[in-house]
Amino acid sequence: MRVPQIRGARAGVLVVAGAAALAPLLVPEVFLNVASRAILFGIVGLSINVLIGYTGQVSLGHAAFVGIGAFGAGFAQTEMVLPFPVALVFAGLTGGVAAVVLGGVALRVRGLYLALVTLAYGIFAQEVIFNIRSLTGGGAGMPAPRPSFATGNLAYAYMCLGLLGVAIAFDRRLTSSRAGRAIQALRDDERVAASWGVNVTAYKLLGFVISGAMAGIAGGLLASVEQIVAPLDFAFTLSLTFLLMAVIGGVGSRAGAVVAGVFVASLPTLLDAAHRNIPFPPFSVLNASFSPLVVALLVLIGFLFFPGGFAEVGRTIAGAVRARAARSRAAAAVAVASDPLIDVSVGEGAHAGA
Amino acid sequence: MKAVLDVLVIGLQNGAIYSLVALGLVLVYKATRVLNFAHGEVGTTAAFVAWVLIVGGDTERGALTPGALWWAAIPAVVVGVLLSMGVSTLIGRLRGSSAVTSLVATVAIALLLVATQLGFFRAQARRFPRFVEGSPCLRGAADGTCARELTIGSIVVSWHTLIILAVLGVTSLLLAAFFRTRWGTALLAMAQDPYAAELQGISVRRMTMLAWGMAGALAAIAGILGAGVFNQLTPGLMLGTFLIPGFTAAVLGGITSMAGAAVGGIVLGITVAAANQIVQSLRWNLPGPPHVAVLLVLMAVLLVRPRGLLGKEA
Amino acid sequence: MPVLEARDIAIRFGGVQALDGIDFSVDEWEIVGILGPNGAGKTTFFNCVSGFSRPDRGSIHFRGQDITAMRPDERVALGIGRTFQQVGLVRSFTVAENLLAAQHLTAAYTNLSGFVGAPRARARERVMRDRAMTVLEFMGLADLAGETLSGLSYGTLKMVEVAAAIAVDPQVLMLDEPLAGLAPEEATEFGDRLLVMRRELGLAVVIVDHHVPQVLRVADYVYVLNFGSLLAQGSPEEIRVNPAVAEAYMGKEATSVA
Repeated sequence: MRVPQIRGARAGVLVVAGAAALAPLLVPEVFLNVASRAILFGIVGLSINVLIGYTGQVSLGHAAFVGIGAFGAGFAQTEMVLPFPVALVFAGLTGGVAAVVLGGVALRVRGLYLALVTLAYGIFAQEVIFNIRSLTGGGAGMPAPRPSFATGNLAYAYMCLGLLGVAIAFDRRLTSSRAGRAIQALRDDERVAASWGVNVTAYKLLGFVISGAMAGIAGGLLASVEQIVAPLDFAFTLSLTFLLMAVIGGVGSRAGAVVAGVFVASLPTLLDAAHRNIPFPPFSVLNASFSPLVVALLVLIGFLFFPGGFAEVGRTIAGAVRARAARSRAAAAVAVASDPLIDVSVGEGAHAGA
Repeated sequence: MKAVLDVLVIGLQNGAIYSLVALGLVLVYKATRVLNFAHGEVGTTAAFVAWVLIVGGDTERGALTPGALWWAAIPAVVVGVLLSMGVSTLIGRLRGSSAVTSLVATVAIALLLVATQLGFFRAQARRFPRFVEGSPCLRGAADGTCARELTIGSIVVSWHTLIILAVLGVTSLLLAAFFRTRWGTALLAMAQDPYAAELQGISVRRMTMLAWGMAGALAAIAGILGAGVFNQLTPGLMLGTFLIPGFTAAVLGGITSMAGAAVGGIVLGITVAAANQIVQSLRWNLPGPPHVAVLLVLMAVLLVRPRGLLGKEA
Repeated sequence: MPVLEARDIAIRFGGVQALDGIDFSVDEWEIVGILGPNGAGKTTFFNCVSGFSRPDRGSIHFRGQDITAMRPDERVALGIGRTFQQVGLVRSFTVAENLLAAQHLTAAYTNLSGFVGAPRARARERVMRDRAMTVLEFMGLADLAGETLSGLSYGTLKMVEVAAAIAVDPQVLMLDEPLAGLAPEEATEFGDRLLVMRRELGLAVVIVDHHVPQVLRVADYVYVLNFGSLLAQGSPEEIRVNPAVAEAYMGKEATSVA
């Protein structure tokens, strides 16, 4: 008698992927743009995870890369009159270049000082670069139209979902290839990485480039959600939100990064919906404007009890599920062994002489 | 010549507040090696406490009771002290606290404080008083108004500016004196080597609370004076206006030097004022608001001389 | 021609002359030991040869080529591998992942093909995994392949580190205190394994350690450092009875080491 195996992780991933694929159809039309933003925050989360989780750097100014990508895409479409896909590639390029500049600084400056530099960099981008009228349309903003094949909200949401899938696939390829291992190795110990032939400088910068390019592409896509980009969209408080997002998700976890991104972006809408429909506290008190409060609280709770963020919570739950499954398998085995009606000497695979 | 005086005056005006903020940041960093991102918002929160008392509890329509700031400042400072000590306790409980982790935690706390302020007071700007309004009058006019106010260069020097400078001076002297007392030397000892200090009978926990508490008081004072600069208090005020310049001043002066913090703020203020004056007179149309110069100074210091003017560690 | 050669290496830290004109060479398939009391400059010398410290004076040569200006990772590409005094592994990787990361230079596929999951990359990854298992089996660690590092003993971690260094496929393997913290039986076993390694992998080995008997047992040639200078050099037998060496290690009354 065989106890059914639990194909834990595989099944879970398929279920989640299936649900995600159906989600845009189930979301009410009015929330489709929010859903797109949430999906794109997932990509931003992945890009931060590459920088903080895989490369081991700190990033207090990540909104700069996203914003540069957003304005890059807008500029490419409006001023350079390039089609959407090319504009997106351009967004990735500008994000990557902006990141590699910061990466160059990160080679010389460490720890807290680097944190401050990234902060200054982020604010600098928002206040200076995003306000250069010729590049970004100044305060009024720059138009960023959608591609002709995805003008509707539903189509755009599906396009974003598809690209999130591509980003996740890329991330998986990254971590199981020599480049990803080199980057993570230098995060833990630069000398050891060098002693295995890793050019520490080059791969550290590569980590920045990948992170910046992903952020830039996410920015380009975000620009076309509302089809206009303005400097205020990328204030440095957004950088802080991104940082907290990474912490909530669990640094180094791909799934955690995506979940945290989707969660943070949807939080205001979720809070509003809960506020309207659930008549008792805390939802009766919290509405959308409490979103930053909830995020900050989650971070602090995370630091105190779950330093690994969502990822750790997920692992704990998965571990508990597996433990229960193992216990029930063991219990079933004991039941079989002690059942007088079942002959235990004839088991699976005991086809002697067949 | 007038331009130079202008630069000096504006530089001093802004720089003094930067110095006050920087003093609190350096005090905490020296004692516990934490860059306290929440320092500014502790100050804003304290300022709000003062404000609530000044409008007599009526947050919607209350009018500013004249002269109330003088006594309302006291509970505000107490709140600042307690809040800062609370932050310190929270940071102390962090799991796996590297320096960057602590920084991120203080970021979260800062945002938490802003969010709380928004929750209570919404994003509206509230009128906030100064200790003394107006400027020193050198010659009165017949109808009671001032014919000639104190002016240096082409800038009218307000009472508020003078008060800020005075507070900075007094605070610096008090801190210098404090570090010569028994408590002060104990704090410095703990900052240098917590383990050895503990062995000597110095309670690291108590000293940490003391340092953060003092920083909280400094934050509250900076918050009240900062709000007075604009005559306006909004949630997130310090984080948005004075925290980054405060950090820059601290780094410029040397993140481990209290004297550096005081000096750094003034130097930063004057440097930024000078830079802006130069840009203006050359009629360059550089993008970005004037305080972008602060960011450039920060990046320059971090890249060229991370230990700042008077600091001792890189 | 020697595989690895150091000429007149000197370096100063602060007020201390850590190394003062060291000449050193390793031949093909040779096992060379470097002995010396604490602070003699052994690890500093290693760092100079592997590129982690730049000497004030002198040069390093690999098969006749001057490599003094090369970065550490460039020297690895030529064929110099090393281990570290504190165990040099990637803490967040499993044993197998460490061995895969160590094959960085022999991966033989471009990063781009890795990013897109090209067939060549996948095929090469399989080859690398097989190679990792082969090396682990050789070191007797095959059953630990999927283990994280945190549960492993210090001695085991040192073995994993050596396995990773082998996976780099070096021509000269430099071991920095591989026997430190090992029990006597483990140290002897490692010495035996070293001899097998030299024979089967065709490596030259440079070993720095305090464990004098073990080093004298496996080495073909020994250098002894003291206070940054070369105190003595020669065959293990010569070193064993060298009075200056005995004095440096054990004081004036000693007549031999080990």
